[in-house]
Order: sequence, then C-alpha cells, then structure tokens
Amino acid sequence: MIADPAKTLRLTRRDLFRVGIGAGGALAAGLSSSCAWSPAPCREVAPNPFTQGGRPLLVAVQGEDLDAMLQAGIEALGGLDRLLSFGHEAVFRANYVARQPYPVTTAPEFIAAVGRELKTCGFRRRTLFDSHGSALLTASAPDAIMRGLGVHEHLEKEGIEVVTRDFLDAGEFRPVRNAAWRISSPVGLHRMLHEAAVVISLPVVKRHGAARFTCALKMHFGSVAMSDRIITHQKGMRGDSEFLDERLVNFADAVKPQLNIVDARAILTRSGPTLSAGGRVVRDVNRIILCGDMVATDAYCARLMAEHDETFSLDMVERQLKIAGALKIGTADLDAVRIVEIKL
Amino acid sequence: MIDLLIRSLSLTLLLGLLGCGSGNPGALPAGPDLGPYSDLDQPENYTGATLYAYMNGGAEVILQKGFSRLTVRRYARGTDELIAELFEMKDSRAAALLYGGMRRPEAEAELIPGCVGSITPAEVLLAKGRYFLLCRNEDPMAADGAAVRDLASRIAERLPGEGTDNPTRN
Repeated sequence: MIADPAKTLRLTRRDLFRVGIGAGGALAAGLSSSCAWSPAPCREVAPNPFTQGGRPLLVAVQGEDLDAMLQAGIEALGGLDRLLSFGHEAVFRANYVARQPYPVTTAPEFIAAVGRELKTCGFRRRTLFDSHGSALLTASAPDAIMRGLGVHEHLEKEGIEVVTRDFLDAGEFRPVRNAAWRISSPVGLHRMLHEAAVVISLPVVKRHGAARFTCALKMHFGSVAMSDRIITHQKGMRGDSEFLDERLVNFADAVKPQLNIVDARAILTRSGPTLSAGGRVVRDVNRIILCGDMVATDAYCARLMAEHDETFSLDMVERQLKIAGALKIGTADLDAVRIVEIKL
Repeated sequence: MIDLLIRSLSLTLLLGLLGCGSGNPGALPAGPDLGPYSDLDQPENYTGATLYAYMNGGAEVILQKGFSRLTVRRYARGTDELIAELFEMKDSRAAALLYGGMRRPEAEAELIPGCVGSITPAEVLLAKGRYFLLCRNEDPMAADGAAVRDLASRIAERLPGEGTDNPTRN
C-alpha cells in the first residue's frame, strides 16, 4: 500500500486515484475471509411496530399545513409512543448530499416539526446525525453543508442536537455484514447509528444518476463510510448497476430505521440527486408519507415520481425492491400493505 | 488490515480532494468584478477525481460527456443568493452535448447576442465554447428570474468561444 508519502506525491493524481480504487476493490472483494477478524452483525431491530391486521401500515397525507399533516399522519399510524419501547433517544437521518435547499436536501423545518412531535410523545433526546464531509478540507468540512443551509440554527432552537462526523475517519465506522448478502464484503456503518436505540429516517424524493431514484433505501449511502460510497458509485459509473443496486440495499439493511417519514411536498424530477445534474423541482405534490417499512415506502414514492416525471418508470427501481424483499427488509407489494391516504 | 486499506483509500481521496477547495477561480470572476455582486464564499474547484464530492450520483452524467473541471462561486445581489457552476469540458461539442441534455427546449431564448440559453426563473443554462454554465438562485422555487439571468449574462459575456444557437440533441 502507500507506505511512503514522499514517493506518493510524485505520482499523478490519476495514479493515486487508481491505487485508491484498487485498494478499495480489494476491500470490496471480501478481505474478511482471509483474516481472523469478523465484522459485527447489522443493526438489530424488532419487527416493524407500525402494522395493522398483520400488514405494514403506510400513511400518506396530502395537505399544505406541515404540522397538521404530521399530526394527522402520526395519529393514523397509531402514535409514535410505539417507538418508546425501544428507547427514549432518537437519531434522525436526513439527506444532506449537497449544499442545495429542499427538495435536494431535507428541509430543516421538517426535521424540527418531527422533533416536536417526538418530544410531545416523550422522547428525551433527539439528534440529527450526518457524515458528509471531512475536517481536512474547508470546502468539505463535516458540517459545511448543514451550516450552509442553516440547519444548526433551526434545530438548536428546538433542542435538537446536530452531530456531524468525518466520513474519512475509519475509527468512526464499524464493519457490519449480513450473511444473506450476495456481496460478501462488509460495509462500514457509522457507530452512532449502529448503537442507536431508535433511528428515524427523513428522506426526500428525487431522481438519481446511476441509481435512477432515491428515497428511503438510497438514503443510507450517507450512513456508511466514504470508501463504500465511492466504490459503489464507481461501479455504477462503469455500468455495473447490479452491484450498485445490491450495495444500496445492503447499506439500508445495515441501518434498518424503525420509521421513515418522507417529505414529498415537492420532489426532484428528471435527474438528480442535485440540481447541478439537470434536476427539476416539481412543487405542489404536497404529501408526506409515514411507514415503518423502507421497501413499501420506496414502492409508494416511486409511484409518486412516475406520476410527475414522464422520464421515470417503475421498472427502474424493480431490481432494488426485489433485492430488498429477498433480504426480508420489507415488501414492495403494495397489495400486501395497509395504505391509508388522508387529504386535509 | 481492513483499517490500513480504509486509511489508504482515505489518503488517496484526501490527495485528490487537495486539488479542489479554494484557489484559482478559473473563468468565474469575483463578485465585485461582475458589477453589483458580492462574494458569499470562497470559490471551489473540482476535477474528474473529485466531482463526486460535489455532485454525488449526478457526477456520472457529467463525467461521461468529457468533463475537465468545475468551478463554483456563490454570489449575493441584494436579497438574492445565487450560485454559478462553470463546467469546463474537453471541447465545444462536449459542452453543447451537456447543455443539450439538460436544457428545457420550451424555455430557450437568446441570453446574449449569439448565445441561446435555457432560461427559467430559478435557473439559466448555456454552452459557450468549451464551457457549460449553470447559474441558479439558491432558492429553487424563486419566481423572479431577473437576478439569475443578469448573473448568467455577465459571466457568459466573458467566456471565450461561440455560443450555442443550435443545441445538439443528446
């Protein structure tokens, strides 16, 4: 590997990048099989607490008043106190892929509104966690995107802690693996998520380059180590969309949030996951979706995307959803889901 | 051993990322040089190895079309906060292809003499020479496009090469 930094600096950046990818490729090839070290299991959670008649419950609320929509959705879900049996501290995962406002990223007022509902039902601590930068560079500092979007100021007023961690710090990530994965190598899951009692995911609904669509499952690229993200995107760029879809599901499986609350008041269509790739914002979709099943959430939100984006079709996410179903993370069969649609 | 590999990859990424960050702004001028604009932040530069750090999964679309470098600057004009992303491509055909893939045909109009742009209230796109320019209002739901159109015009006038007046379909 790279043992002599002085020699390293005489190489071109292209050479260094290739070496890095080679090292990463070896990692992805499953080094754990050649070492005595074993990865930890993925985050272990109880079965989906939000069910009705034995079926996962998905609530979709249409309206214009966010607080009223959330309250109606939570009531239809049966209340958030079902989560208290797991613990009184919740960690939020949101989307901070770039320094661009909602719907590219999760709106701070959305997190604040969810945070208020959790506090009302008895949660003692609410924390927003993300890992989208490195302390080594000003332009990519761990909190650069959130600070640029005013997230800290908004949430700290509500008593919600904001925690950002360096995506290059190997010590922050715990290698985890599920023996049922078709890719044998572990992924580096941030230890804060691995140890959290309650994880609530707050996705947005967007198109994506290689992954075609991003919502509940794809969210968890942001939950794993940067090396895992880069390797997976590199393979996607080289046309290996099967690897990308498998890994995307593995990342989600590693986290398994107990609840997903999707902010679909507006969505990003045609391209993504940022505006820089030619994405177009569609306003007045005016929905939020609440569900304890990531797969059902994506199946429902993919239909929403198809309604508003003529360049998107459901077959673009079929493989991801099939892989997730095979791992028993959830169900993409919306006939097997109890869907409650509310219009305010 | 896993830890060593992760650190190696991290070092590689770091050295690649050292190529970006604040530094030479390229063809994007400072705010005061453009007129009634101020700078909101340091300029950012990205190459093919680091474009993912800026655009995440959207980088593939750009890289596949002959990307060389990206310069990003954030400006303020009055209460408007604007961002300019200047993509330098390998040649004018690559820039036109990128523009052709992202433009809105129904929103095309001449932005400056000899240069057509895709112009909406929150965003202006154009290709000129080997450059693809994307100017946006930081508020993607902005209804008044005067500021972003003005910014794009002022930058486009300074870019070398011919404007796209007959965009290549992607």
